[in-house]
Amino acid sequence: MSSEGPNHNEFDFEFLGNTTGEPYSVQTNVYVNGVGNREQRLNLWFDPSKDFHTYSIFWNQRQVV
Amino acid sequence: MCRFLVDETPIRVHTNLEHKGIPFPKDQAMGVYSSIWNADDWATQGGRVKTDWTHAPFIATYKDFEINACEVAVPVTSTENAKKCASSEDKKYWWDEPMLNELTIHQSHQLIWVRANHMVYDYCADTARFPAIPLECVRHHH
Repeated sequence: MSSEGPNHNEFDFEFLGNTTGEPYSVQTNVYVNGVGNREQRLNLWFDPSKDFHTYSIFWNQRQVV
Repeated sequence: MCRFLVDETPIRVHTNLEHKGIPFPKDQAMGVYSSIWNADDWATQGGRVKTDWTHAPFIATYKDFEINACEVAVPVTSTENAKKCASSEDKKYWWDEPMLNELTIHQSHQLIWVRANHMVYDYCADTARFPAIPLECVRHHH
């Protein structure tokens, strides 16, 4: 999900393919004011091409204090 | 705050630490997009493995998009968005419920499990790339 413009914000789910038999991975990234470089990547514990799964982003304005 | 979940399992938490002067994506309206693209310059073992186009077409299928949000008209200024979509006395959004702002004990354990067993890269731990740890990565206690 993303806003528009050069100083945009963005939350990403990126599904990375692989050679046959190797695990798929999911990379997430966060852009703040147009700057990303906040990648995290994990190997999924299931084969995402076999079934539908739920991928969600929960976002609110609240601070953690 | 922002949480990423896979089948209800939290895989990432990006905390709003604005009180520490760390910018948080908050004021701009967002849309949901999906696309498919070739990233064999970086995604495939750093680009060492190239896409085998003999396997094409590559198909990604999505269904049941569900969006729960405060709707805004565009264009509208960021501050107007933030004001319109903030919960207040007479208008409470379920996603602003205080209890949702922290992971449950169970979710915390799930996140620890994911990070210990499935995470293969975390920019917060990449000291070669970021000799100074990114501000939002510094562990906070509260």
